[in-house]
Amino acid sequence: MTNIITAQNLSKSYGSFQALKNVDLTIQKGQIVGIIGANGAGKTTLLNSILGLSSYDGELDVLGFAPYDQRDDLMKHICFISDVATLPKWMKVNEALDFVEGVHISFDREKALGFLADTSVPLDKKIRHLSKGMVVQLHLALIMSIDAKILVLDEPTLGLDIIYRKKFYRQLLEDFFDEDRTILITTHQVDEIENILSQVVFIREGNIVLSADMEDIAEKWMVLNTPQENIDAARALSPVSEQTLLGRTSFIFNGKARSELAELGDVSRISLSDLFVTLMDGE
Amino acid sequence: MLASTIKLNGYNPFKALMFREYWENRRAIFMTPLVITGVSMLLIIVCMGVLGRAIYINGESFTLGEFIANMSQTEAQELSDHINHVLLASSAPIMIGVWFCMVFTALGALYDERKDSSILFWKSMPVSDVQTILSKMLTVTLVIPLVAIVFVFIFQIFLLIVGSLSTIGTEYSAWDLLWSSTNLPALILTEIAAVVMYSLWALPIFAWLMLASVIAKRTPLLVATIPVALVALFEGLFFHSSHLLMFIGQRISIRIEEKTHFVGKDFETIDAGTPLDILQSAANPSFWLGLAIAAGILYVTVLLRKRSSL
Repeated sequence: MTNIITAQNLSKSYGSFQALKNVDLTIQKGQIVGIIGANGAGKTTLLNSILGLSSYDGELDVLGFAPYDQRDDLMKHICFISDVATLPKWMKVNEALDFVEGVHISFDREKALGFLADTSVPLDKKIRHLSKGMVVQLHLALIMSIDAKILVLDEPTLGLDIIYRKKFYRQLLEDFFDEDRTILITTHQVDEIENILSQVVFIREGNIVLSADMEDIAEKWMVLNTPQENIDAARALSPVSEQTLLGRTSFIFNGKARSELAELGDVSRISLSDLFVTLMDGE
Repeated sequence: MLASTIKLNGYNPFKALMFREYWENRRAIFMTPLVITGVSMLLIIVCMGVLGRAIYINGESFTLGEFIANMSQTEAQELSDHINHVLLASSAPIMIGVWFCMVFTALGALYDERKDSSILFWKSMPVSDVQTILSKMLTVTLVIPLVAIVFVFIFQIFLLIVGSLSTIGTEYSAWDLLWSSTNLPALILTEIAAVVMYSLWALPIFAWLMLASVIAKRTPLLVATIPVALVALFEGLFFHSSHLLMFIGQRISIRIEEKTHFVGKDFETIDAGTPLDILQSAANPSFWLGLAIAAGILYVTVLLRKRSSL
């Protein structure tokens, strides 16, 4: 496995506010990485540093480039869709294709036209006249037709309805992702991406609180639902958190043997949203 | 129109950037001179005496044809001698309109992309900030005025044709009066040289406008003008001088007119300058000083564009 992103002591301050605090992070090729955190936790700051959109302190290596100083070279290998609709509204769809073809040496126009043929995006219209869903489809078509090594998605499906969102991720997996590529995603809809992620990074107040493979998480983190009589025994095993909902008590454990917990009740896999809440609530 | 004949084919980053500027600024580059030219032609046809009597001399009104018919031989000779200057002067409405396009395109160049957040899209493409700013600067200072020259040329031909039609039925022939002394190639070369040299002389001003457009949170025009006004005021109050305003005045005024003199109602030695004369102003050290200032301002602009992401 090769590291494609390595950050050491990565920090970023805006005035007295420290958006990233000495972050260490490695991301390997062929992963789909979810970057999860509350608003203002530093997700976008981290992505902007990786994309060379903002300066930073510390060491950061993306595909062998220093992102801030070599953004234009780096962008030959990275694609990026952000939460805000960033395609210029005055541009026609045709012009957007021409432009990306003009600046990206590895852009495959036929491929993009193929993706667009499956949508109702009109080629001769200005982007301002497309619906929000069509703009995202266009952006995705442009980006999936570039032979990039890393794809960064910052809240890509914000404001889309559920049908588009499902389609978006399905297309991403089917038509773009393979073992040579890496995808970085931030989103609030954690449940939506849970089953496509292979690695997850939790950020809280500028720190990375957890960076792990999904398999490791499934092995280490467990949810135990116990009947009333086993509650004290479960508490004795020092759970990370405890929650009572509609008379049922559930505990979240980290690093306990499944067999040990199974004696006390039903053990199940932790969902990312539960893990998120647990990590954000802890000290 | 120009862009439909020159096509953008395949990988060519700088060309793509220039096309992108054309697509975004179609109005400034193409529509503005087109509309001004069209309206000017219409005004001439309707008002200037082709159809109606719109030339007033001593309380009498003439059509253009009547005016030409009533000219004395010496007047005709004078018109013929100075036809190039008349044509040169006729470019004023288009060039003035286009000058405003240059100013406002520069002010919007690095501001609009932040306002509509498309800067994130542009920055996700493998083109450097230097290339981007260079393409915008070229568009403002060369593409816009040079495209305007094409329209100026069309307008000048139109004037010659209207003039020629007006000689019908007079004792003067269109050839002798208008065409024989018109040197169209020289005229165009003069205009191109004037535009290029003007842009280079005014480069610090346009670089400054670009700087304002990369800094401004809103209204780049105010960001560009208010500091200048304050510094000029300060200079006036405390040093009783106006070097800053003189500098700006010099840079934005059109040098081609410097050699044109009017004495009373007659032209004296009118010498609008050959293309060579215009180019010779590059020998002036302050020309190079201006370029150096512009380079400095653009360097800062590049640094700020690199830093700004939204």
